[in-house]
Amino acid sequence: MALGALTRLAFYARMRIRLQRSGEALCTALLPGLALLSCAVLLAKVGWLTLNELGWAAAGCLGCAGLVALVAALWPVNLLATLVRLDEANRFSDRLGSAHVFSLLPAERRTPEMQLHIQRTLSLLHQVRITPAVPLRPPRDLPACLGLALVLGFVCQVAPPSYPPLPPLTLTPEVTERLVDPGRLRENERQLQQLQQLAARSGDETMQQIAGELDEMMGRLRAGTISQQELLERLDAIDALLAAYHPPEAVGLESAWEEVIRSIEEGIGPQEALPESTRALLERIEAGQEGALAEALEQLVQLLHTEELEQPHREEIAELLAQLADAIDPGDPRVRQQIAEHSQEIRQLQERLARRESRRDRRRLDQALERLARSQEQMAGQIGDMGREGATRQEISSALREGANALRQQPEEERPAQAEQEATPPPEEMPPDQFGQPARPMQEASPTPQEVAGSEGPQIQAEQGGQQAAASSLQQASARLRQMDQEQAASEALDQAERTAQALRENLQRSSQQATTEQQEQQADAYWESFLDRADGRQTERQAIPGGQQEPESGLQQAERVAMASEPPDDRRPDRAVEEEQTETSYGFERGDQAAGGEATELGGTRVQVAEEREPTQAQPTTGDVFYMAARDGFATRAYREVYVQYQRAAETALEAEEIPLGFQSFVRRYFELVEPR
Amino acid sequence: MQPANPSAVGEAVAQAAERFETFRARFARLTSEIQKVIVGYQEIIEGVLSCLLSDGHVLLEGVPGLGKTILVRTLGEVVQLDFGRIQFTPDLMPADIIGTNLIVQGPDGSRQFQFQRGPLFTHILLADEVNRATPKTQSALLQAMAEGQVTVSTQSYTLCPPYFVIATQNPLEMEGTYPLPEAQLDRFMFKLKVPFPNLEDLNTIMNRTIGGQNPSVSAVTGREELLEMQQVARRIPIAPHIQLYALRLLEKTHPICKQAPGAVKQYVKAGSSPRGGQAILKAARIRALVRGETAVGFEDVQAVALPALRHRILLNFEGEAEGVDTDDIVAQILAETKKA
Repeated sequence: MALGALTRLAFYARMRIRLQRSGEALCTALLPGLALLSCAVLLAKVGWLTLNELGWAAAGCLGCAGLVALVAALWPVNLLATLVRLDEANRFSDRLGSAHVFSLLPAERRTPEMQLHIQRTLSLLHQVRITPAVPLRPPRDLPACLGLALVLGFVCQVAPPSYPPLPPLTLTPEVTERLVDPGRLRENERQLQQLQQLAARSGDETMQQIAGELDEMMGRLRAGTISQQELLERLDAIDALLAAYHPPEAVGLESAWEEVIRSIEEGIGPQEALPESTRALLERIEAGQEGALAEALEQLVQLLHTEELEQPHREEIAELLAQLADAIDPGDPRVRQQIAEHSQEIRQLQERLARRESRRDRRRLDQALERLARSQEQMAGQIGDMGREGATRQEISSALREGANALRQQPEEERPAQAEQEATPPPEEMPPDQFGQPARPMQEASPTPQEVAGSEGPQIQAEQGGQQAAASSLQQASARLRQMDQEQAASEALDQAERTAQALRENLQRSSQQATTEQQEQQADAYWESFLDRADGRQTERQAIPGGQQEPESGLQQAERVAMASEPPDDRRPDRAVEEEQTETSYGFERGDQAAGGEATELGGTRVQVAEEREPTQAQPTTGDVFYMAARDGFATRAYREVYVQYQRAAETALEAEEIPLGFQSFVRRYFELVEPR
Repeated sequence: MQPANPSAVGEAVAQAAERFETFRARFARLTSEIQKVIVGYQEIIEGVLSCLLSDGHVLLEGVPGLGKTILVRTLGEVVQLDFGRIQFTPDLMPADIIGTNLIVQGPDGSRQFQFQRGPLFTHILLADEVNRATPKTQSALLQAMAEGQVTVSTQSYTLCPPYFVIATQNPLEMEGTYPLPEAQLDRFMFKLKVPFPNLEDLNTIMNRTIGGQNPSVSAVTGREELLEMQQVARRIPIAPHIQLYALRLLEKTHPICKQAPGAVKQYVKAGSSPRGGQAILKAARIRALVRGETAVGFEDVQAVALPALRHRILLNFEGEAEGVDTDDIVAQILAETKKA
């Protein structure tokens, strides 16, 4: 029982030691924990951490501190050391420690002196005071912990909260101008207009929807009611839509137009002698657009429906259509000629065979049929190599050819059927072609499946008359051309939409990079306004020249004139001989294979523009004005290297953004190389 | 060992307590009686008595005139033991201390060798200014101090216990002296430095000595009682962790010990022998008994560590050159050694 009292005393002392140790460990562990938590709160305030992540961070920091405190509390405490500590604090001279050690000995090894020591120690246990031996002091790191806790509270309290929803963003025009460059925005609007036109022409709903989206975004951007983030998000959505959109494969006749025009010009005489409708059709053909040609064919169809054309007129139109069909036909003209010759030979041989069959004629007929088959295979191979374009061209060519034949075909009451029989051989006499159909006349030598589907055409033509049949065939060709035009427009609209979205995004990025200071923004805005105005020809530098009597001229035109003509105006270049000599050796000019080099030359025209003052009535500042304003407004107080970098960047931006010939771009770049600060 | 019967246990415990009380009472009487002659020097007296009761020997170091010889003589008178005094001089020979064989003519006229005992054969021996004798003479004390017997020629003579040697040496007059070798020093349980008395004690000394009335002391204990006190002192228990603490102190006097303080590693050539540990524990027992404790504690070990170790630490050349005091080294060892 007495030893139990000693053990209980030691237990209480050890509990206090554990408690003290736990508190010390907790405070020590809380120091880095609170520091990290403060950082986490700051990160959460600036939006780099969510509330959930902040909660996890807080739980981690505090949990680690608690775990350390728990480990410290559960760490074993030496009982003997505790008793020694109690002895020292109570000035017992190791009475408790020795008594504990003696009590652990077996009874037979315990001497009377040891027993005496234990008894005396137990009798003095009531004098033992634990508090002086194991005092519960505040942890040493407690002040630092409290300080960090205050810092944490300060961070939580003072830092601006980020989680309440932000008010709806309404951008002012100034902010909008910072968001995007106004000059580039104008360019974006032009691109959008082109996109809207292409979308309307293609009739594609997706492209019209994208154009509408871009138009709505542009409107909000002008009104300043869209943020940069929302703008970028919507651009990303449009990009995703464009990536998922697969327009029908556009098949154009670009490769055939030159051949068409050349063959028509060879086949048709002076255009002034042609009738109005034929001339209009020829003009549309020369325009080289599927849509225009389709429109012309529709007008021709309408004309055929409404009016009764005279024979010469119909012949001319038929001839034009036939040549157009031949030009559009993807087959090689020489092959077609071979097929015609082979067919003619076959017909003659068949006639001979009908009259008198001989072995020689039979062999010749077989050879002719073989050559015809090879020619037809060669043509089919050419068409097959062209793919869908070849099939389309073949289809249009067939329709045009049918229309031409129908126009040439006279009504039954005007043209005897015998003459028609003579003009076209009977179908049963024609050899089968590669599609298994009877061979047609020369102009129909390459039948297509579409033609097979329209094999009832001659009967309809016979019933409705040649003019109506021609109108029907031309209607088919017009529809096909219209479809091609829409496909082409859809493809162009897709490209245009991608370009528009990309240009708008680049506009945002460049504006955010460039708009560092207000002064830079003003300079950039003035520069772009001036540049675009000059590019549009609305404002010329020459207007600013007092006494200038020349026509308005853009800056680019001036540069072209100065660079290419190498003969500047006399009123600006008094020393002409010297200028000519300098121009011959100036940078950017070439003679033969040797690039010009050597000393730098002066762009006198530009110098004069900068040196002279513009008229006060001009609305927009010129580039010279911008430079002079910069010079007056603290230009001299800024380092030349800094100003040089800004100007060079503006020049590079202009060179990248505009279509400036490479030869002229080297002028600008060489100039900045020469004036580069050293 | 403890008897199995509880009543016997209680009786044994009571007897032990009585023995402890008797010891303390006798010790107190001895101290008080000595202090009738010796003014002050409480620690010196307790140290000398501790060595006496621990069956050890003591080396007193101090300048002349501090009462070292009086202390020893008073002790001899108080304990009623034979007292002998040898003034060590350079020409003192071992035979002068131990004794020698002399030719003695018997009653029948025959002559034979007879051992003539020297002053060594006594209970309490004062070796005054022991460092003035040659090492040869100093070594004559080695066997007597360590084994309690003397060998002359082929004959050994046992010294009558208790045998207690008190040596003195003057630390100032080093010319013509022979410092005690390490083996001789190690035989002394304590080396006590006798300080100069303070003004109050000095005044008391003057009053007692110049008045012509020399204080007289009486014997308070006899030889048997003294031996009984030595037996009682051996029975006081020492807990293992206390003993380990004493041994850690001893271990740290050696420069090769990893836990030794920097001063030991720098200035000490050799540390204490195991006799140092024995001296510490024996003296700690006496001190614990004197303080009324029933077991040895850390304080007892710490208190006796300095006189028990200071003369057992051998300084190296650097320590000698810089005048390092071994007391400082022992103090540093005590400060840097954890109790548990």
